[in-house]
Amino acid sequence: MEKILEVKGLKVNFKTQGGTVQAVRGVDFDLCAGETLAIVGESGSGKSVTSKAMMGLLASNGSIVGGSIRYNGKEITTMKEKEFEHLRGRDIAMIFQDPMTSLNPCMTIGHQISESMIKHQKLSRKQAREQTIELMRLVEIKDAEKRYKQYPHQFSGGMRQRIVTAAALACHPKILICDEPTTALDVTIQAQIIDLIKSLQKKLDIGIIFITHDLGVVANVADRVAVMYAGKIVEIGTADEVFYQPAHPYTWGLLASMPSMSDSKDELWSIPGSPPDLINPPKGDAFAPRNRFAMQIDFEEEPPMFRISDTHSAATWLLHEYAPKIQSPLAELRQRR
Amino acid sequence: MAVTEDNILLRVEHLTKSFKVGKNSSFKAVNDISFHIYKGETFGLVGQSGSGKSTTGKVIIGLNEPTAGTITFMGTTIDRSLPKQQHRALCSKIQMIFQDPYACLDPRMTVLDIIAEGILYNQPKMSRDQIKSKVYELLETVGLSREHANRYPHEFSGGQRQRIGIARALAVEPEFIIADEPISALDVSIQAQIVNLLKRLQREKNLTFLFIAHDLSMVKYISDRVAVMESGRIVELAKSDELYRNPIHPYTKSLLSAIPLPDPRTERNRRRIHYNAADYRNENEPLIWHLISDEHWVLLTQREIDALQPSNA
Repeated sequence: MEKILEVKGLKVNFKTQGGTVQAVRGVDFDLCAGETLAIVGESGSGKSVTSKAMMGLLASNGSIVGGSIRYNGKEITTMKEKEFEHLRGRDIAMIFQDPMTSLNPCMTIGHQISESMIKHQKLSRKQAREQTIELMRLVEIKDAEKRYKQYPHQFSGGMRQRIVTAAALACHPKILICDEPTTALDVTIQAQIIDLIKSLQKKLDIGIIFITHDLGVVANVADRVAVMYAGKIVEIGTADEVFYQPAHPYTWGLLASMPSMSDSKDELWSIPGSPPDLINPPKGDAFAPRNRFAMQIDFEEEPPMFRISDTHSAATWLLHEYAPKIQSPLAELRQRR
Repeated sequence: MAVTEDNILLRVEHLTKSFKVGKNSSFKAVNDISFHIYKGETFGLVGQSGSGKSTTGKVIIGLNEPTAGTITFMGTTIDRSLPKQQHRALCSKIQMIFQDPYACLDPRMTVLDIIAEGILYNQPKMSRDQIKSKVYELLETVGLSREHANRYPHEFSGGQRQRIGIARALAVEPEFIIADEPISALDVSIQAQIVNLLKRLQREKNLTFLFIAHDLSMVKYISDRVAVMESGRIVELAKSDELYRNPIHPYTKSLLSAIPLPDPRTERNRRRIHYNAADYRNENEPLIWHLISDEHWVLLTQREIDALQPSNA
């Protein structure tokens, strides 16, 4: 498959009063056309920062200090803002968590969806209007003609997320970044929005980067999964590999700490402690202090990415040939259930 | 457990809460609901946003006045006619844990002062030293340490703040804790820590919980019985295993079918059930609180109950 996005060794720092926060500390991944890559992690793991760096939307105290992001072979980290404007919204679009904050409350929604068509595709107002109504039908908004003239406050949360999705798709982007698009929604509405995004992907062949902390949602949408912790990808693989043969102790912990729908009432498996401070990232493996299986080397040296299969790799010393073979606690948990 | 007045801690009967919308109309956030909670159990309340589950919690603890209906706690009906002293004593047995642990802690108070406030409510004559040692004890109970006592809320992470919120609730020595979405603002790896803590406290202190949440898998895990709310009404109530194994109400079915599970193979073959109240019934049909089996209740119309019988018999 054709790779449309390649991220290599991406590093992002934020200057704050307390010191420099190393929010992203070397991230590598790529994305093919038509596939969905889910990035999972806790708050502060750097998943949103990674996506904002791709969109050139970092806050003013943040900067890319290393690595490259290539879109269709073109480097975008060094691009001038003017050049980037042609890319953002047209080739790479983004949907955010809270649809109300990304919509302008004083503009009709039709105007907001058609805005980028007029700018990027140089359509006339009339053409843009026709296409917008078509898009609104595509994202399953009923009475599109009537609702074209309405304002964001006249829509429910789920409907607003549909509108934002329509606006993001207005210029037929090649890449759609979804940053927790369903976190603020109810489960039933969440299911509808996810189904919508998936069906649009099939129709339009878009590459999707789906950022979330909800492993259930990941299992539903993802072709491949990248697990982030403390600014790094600690495990990446196809959805089946990451869910059924996870190799990193952090992934084990995440999966094991979810209550399943079975009848078990045993104590939940939990990851002790809390994530590290990224102003002074710990020496060695950042996960080591919370890792029940940590070895001496974890506190001294950072583990490289160990390759498990062509598509699956994880950064943990447990995969080193000299490491003791540890059975993942998941296997035991699954048996018990 | 046999249903006797003795082991019922809280009884809610025909509770209605409406809010004024504009001048002449009102909106029923909670519409004629009845349920009871046994001593020592965890009662889960689930539903979409706007279904009235948080309002129910707020009315029980007295943050909102009920429009109609009664709330009986430990055998006494809570209302305004109660003598002030008794009302105060009774209400201090109910505590609440909130969703956003940062919003509910005063940023200008140290953890010591925050927790001490609750202790002083019950025992205003306690000496400073006694209070301190009580606060240290509480902090250790919730998995923090005594060094944390002199810090301010902003110095803590989300999970730690929720622990402080729990310690503050425990300071008043409650019998009954209303937990309103206590884990939904926390990270996945922290959620399990807090849920385990709540379960441990329940065992050790014989607490009773009303657990309000929209995360159905967590509710199932923690609750003994679960009630499903939809537009102000309880539409189904059952033991949690029974509810998840044998949901009757179409709304419950649709909620259950929408829960994302961390299992790609199940997710690929998932069939969702869509629910739209208007598709199922017209508004004028009377609803009946129908008993399906042992403690499994569903709110249905007579027509739907008739349709149920063959499959149920």
